[in-house]
Amino acid sequence: MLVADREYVAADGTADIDRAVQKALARASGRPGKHAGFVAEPASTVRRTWLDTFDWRLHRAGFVLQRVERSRATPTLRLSLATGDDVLAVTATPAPASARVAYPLDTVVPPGPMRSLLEPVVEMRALQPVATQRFVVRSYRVRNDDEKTVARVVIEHPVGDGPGKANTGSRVSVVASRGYSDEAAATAAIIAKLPGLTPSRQSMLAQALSTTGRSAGNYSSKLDIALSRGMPTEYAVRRIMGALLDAAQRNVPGVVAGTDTEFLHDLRVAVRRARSTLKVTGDALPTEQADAASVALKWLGDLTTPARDLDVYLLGLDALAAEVTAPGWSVSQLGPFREFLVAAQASEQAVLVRSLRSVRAKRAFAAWAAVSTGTEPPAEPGTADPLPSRVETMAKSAVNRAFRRAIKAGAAITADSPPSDLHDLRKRCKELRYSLEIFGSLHNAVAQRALTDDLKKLQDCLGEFQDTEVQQHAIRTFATQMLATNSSDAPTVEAVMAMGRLADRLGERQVVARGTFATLFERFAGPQPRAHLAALYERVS
Amino acid sequence: MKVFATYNIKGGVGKTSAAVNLAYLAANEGQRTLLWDLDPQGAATYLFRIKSGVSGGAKALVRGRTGMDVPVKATDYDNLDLLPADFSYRNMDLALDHAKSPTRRFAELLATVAADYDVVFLDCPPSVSLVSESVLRATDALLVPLIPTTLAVRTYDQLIDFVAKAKAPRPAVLAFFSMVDRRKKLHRESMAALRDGRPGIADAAIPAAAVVENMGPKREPVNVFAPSSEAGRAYVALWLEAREVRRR
Repeated sequence: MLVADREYVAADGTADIDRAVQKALARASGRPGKHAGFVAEPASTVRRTWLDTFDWRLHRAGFVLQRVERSRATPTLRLSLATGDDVLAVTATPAPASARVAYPLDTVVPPGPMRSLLEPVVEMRALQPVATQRFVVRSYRVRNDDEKTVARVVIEHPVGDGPGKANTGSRVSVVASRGYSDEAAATAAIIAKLPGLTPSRQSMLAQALSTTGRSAGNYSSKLDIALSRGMPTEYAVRRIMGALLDAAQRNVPGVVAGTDTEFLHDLRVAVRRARSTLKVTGDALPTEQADAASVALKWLGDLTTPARDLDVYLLGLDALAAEVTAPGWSVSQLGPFREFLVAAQASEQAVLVRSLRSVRAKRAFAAWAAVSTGTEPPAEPGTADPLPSRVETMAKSAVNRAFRRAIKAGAAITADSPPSDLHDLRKRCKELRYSLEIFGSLHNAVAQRALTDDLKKLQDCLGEFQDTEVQQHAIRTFATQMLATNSSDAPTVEAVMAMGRLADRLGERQVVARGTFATLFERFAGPQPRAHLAALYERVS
Repeated sequence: MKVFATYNIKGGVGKTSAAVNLAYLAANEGQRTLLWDLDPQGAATYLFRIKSGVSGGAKALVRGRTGMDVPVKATDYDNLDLLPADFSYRNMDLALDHAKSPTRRFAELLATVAADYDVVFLDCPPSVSLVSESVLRATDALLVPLIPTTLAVRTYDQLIDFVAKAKAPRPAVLAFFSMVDRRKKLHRESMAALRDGRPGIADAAIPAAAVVENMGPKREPVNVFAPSSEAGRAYVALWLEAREVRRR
């Protein structure tokens, strides 16, 4: 196995780096022990394609996943750490790489150590090419006096083979054979002296990305809207709406292509955050614009619900099935239900895609855009100007109001309250959460994190309660629909009973969630979250 | 991680040639492979153009003062590393004798590199000793080269007896004929006699061939410089059988 040692980049216009390397290696040859000679290997080509999820999960986790295609060799996937060139795993890959296609993890990475490392990071997301680059490779084996290879000098010349794929500068790497680091260091010292070469400070991925104008980590589902406390309200609101519109629009192509379920999730979250923003800040915008955007956002939100619900059922089906412990239970009994869900999801997805391509969708996004633009960046107010309203005042009032409403709704819930009361509380909690998120950059980071943690625990409980409630009803509806199909496709008794077992299990989980609610709410209504709320505007850290 | 050991009580029967060639073939099919040259003569180490020597010697390795991964060197072939021989391995028995559980020690040492390799080959010295006992417990499959002579039957039976009496877990045994000259009646008869009623003998047989001897001057596995030779094909056939063997 080889261990990467040092990498250098040739400055633009460096003349014939291959000849310079050969000459330098030849001059150094004949040294007993470390560098007795070198052998040139035949030139070859390699295409490197870097893969990541749309939201850069591998990059954020410190991984680099590369598909390597060499001439006359099986393509391999190479997983390494971003901090160095330590290869964690290498495997042959069955899927072809295309610059435009995204792949579910299990179609690209065969079962094994690499899949085990990637699965918890990638989760439900697809892998897609983020950069690709073809190289002509020339390499030289440096050998000791036993004619044993102790290091390799590898020169990779990028080849521009399409629009936007300009040459990015040749890279020269000195790769040590394991156990021969001294010898490789001696070789690296020879290479380092060559004119035009400088130690590489940029990874190969960063270098390849720079030719496309992209940078790693340029999308995250987390909100990061830079506001300042003194910003005029309308400008700040438009900025928030603009950032959310951008997030939504970036996810639409993935939704339309059906790349993975997270595109729709992120689109929905952007829409919900935008609706919430309008609700708490609507007064800051011209009424007509705000009303039109509000109607458009409701339509977009409703549009995405059926397909997302089915995604949620399918994503959670295996985990839910694994919780069922009835005698004679087998996951295979759920086959007909799974097929029904898959077909229903495909049908709803088709409706969603048609709607997103419609004129109405264009108008809806235009209405959203109308509240995202139109105000110039704030100038310093003149002394005669009236003081504009500041976003800090509005944010403070929105967050405090959302907190008060959540506490009021929660305090009214008793052991006899119907599920709809808990659902209403869940909506209040979401409003609070969104208010915290959209104004996050104005808040004391420590207090924001602490209050969000308190709130999240309560939201998780309410989410579990509501989801299990809705899913039990949904299973009943699905079973009715399945039984109503013509006789050849009608489900077996066993399949319907299996669905009943799932519903029973959901019922058990709902009871547990209901049982933990009182304690979690009591904690949320207690002194600590209030203290965190009070500290939100103490000091921005 | 699957551990193979090439082993025979007798010397000069083709253990090292088998270890070197099979390790190369395993690595060549993409498996991360380590060859540990346990023979103080260091023939496998020499064949891969690597210098013998392990800092601290057998004692430091057995006691864990030198980590198993530290002396490892890359060979010139992808996926194939070598833990070199050291002259102090001649005293490996003594080093093991001082260890807490001598017969478990190799298994414990190999467990420390289990995440790094898919396949390990142990090229063992010819002896019956504490080293052999420790190898047996660490190994999934014992690969035993036999020269087809009258004595081979006796050697094989002794070895089976030795494995049967060893402490569990015991390895599977795959014997194979080595240095076979099919022109010799004695070789043909000995092979037939040994195969008669004895399971665990490979169909593949390694011929007595100049290409195998040429590994010495060329310092390369047969399948690098003569892959389509009779011996090259025989090693491939042997590897295909060996990789399917499972521990008993």
